[in-house]
Amino acid sequence: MSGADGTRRVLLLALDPRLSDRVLAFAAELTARRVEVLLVVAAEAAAGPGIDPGVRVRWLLGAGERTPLRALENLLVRPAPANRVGRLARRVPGLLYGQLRAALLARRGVRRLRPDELGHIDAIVAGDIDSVALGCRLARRRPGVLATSALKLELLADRAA
Amino acid sequence: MLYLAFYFPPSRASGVYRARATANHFAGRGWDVTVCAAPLSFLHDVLGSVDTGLAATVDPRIRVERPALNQFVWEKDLRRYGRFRRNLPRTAQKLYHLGQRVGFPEHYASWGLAAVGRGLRLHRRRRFDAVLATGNPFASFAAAWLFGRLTGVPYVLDYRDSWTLDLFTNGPAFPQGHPAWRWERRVLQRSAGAVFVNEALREWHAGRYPGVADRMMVVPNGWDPDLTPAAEPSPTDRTRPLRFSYLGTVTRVQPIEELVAGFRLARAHGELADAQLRIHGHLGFFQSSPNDLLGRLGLAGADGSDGGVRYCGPVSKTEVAGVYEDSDVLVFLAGGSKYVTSGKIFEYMTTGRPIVSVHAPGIAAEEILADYPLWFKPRSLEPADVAQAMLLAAKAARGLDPGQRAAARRHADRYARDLVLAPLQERLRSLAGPRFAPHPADRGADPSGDPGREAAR
Repeated sequence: MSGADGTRRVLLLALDPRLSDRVLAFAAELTARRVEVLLVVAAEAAAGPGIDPGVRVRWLLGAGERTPLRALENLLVRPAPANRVGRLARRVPGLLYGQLRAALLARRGVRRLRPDELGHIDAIVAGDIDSVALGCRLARRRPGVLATSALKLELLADRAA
Repeated sequence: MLYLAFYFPPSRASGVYRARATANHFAGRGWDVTVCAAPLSFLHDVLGSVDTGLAATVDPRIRVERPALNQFVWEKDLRRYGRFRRNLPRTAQKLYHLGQRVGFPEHYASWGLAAVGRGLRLHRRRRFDAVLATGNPFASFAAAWLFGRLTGVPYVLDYRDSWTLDLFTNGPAFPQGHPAWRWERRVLQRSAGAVFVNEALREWHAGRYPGVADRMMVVPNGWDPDLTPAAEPSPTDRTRPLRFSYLGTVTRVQPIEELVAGFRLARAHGELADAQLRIHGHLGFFQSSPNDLLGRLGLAGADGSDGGVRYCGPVSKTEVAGVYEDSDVLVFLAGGSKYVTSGKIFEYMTTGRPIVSVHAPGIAAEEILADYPLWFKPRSLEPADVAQAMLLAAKAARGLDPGQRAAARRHADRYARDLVLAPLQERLRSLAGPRFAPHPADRGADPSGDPGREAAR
């Protein structure tokens, strides 16, 4: 499944609001081993410093982009008013949104990622909990590709072997 | 007897030998043994390592049941996620953790519950007289407790490993208020007995649960005559380099760097200039472990050998005797602290060869080795001390006579598995009721005999 030049390619999904050190370290380790990494994050703001320069980054929500998803996120999760009623009023829908976020991002991810970005990939790695839904959807579209939530190089090596 | 032993052959987890020997011992003493063990899918897909040869050594009279285990936390293949988890992964995770909080605080809880269900079905057909549960995982203890509550069958807990005591820090393994404490108290209070692998562990638990102390006993690990090869003593050839060998699984908690540094220092002495340190066995228990451990052995990038240190790979059962015969000194590399006894040490002692310790001073294994006449223990894990112990062991290996070997083997004979398990079997026989007469093999055995001894009370 690798590219014509033999380079292995990994689609690394990291849709939690913050990029974890674990994901960053895994991406760096992959690039150190000459694996081409396309890191998919939820929003441009999440793609902050700490990402290995060899990693290509793609976000599903651009800065300033007005989408129903962002509007929902702003409505439900934006900082709550300081008073108790305000906090309570935000808490319940916020919790609900937290549960639905992965599914909503998955819908957007499937539409946003271009076919050329999904071509010639060796593995789809869900790097955090919010990436699972998108990872599962993409896995169904790419039947022969390794689809995992384990951040382990060995799995990729086994696949190559 | 219903024996709740998650790790049972073909698993090759370190605790599996005790479980195998226990089941075989009871079957050999006339018990009808049913074992509830881990599902094979867990051993193959999650642990990724099995020993089919070991499974063949299980007494054919033993019935092995494999209750289901919810593998939520181990499942990494996105294609195997169910519809709910695929679409609402956070909710699925929350529900899973909620189950841990309100049920039993361990990932193996579902297996424990399934084992109770399976046990009850079998119990309806033919009554169990006693339950023995071994941990880890400790869901087996909870399962024994629940089975006991539902049926009234007495149960004994075998602490093959420690639950609430962290063996590497010697402190509590869980914060105060963690449900594990409540569960441990609960399962111990209703148990008919609790078994520990060494006196230090028994003492710690007796101090914590004094109301149960009189039901606690020590059953050390031992060596299995059917698995332990007879390594014939071959006179050490003075013309060839001395061979130090470690045989067993190398794990991340062992003082690997100290071993390598000590050995390299010992090699600086003319006498050991060409000595070899051979590491035989698996590197870690998981598929991902080998690279890290090779690095710690100083062998990353090397072709398996560097400066006299050589990684020789896993050893099949048929090759073990050869490894011992080719070794002059055995290295006892162990992690942990005062509560740790390694099962490997018993097999080492049967070879009658010098053993050099590389572990923290004061670990429980020293209790076993103390009377072994060919034991060499460094004062500390400082490379200089390790090297000094290696030099002394090497010297002993060069000048070993048959009398010394025989004395060493006599010490090992005290720990033959059937001898150490006899008191446990008798304890369960007494629980099962008066209709169970002692098995002919046990008549005349001293139930309180050292080393499988009842706790001093």
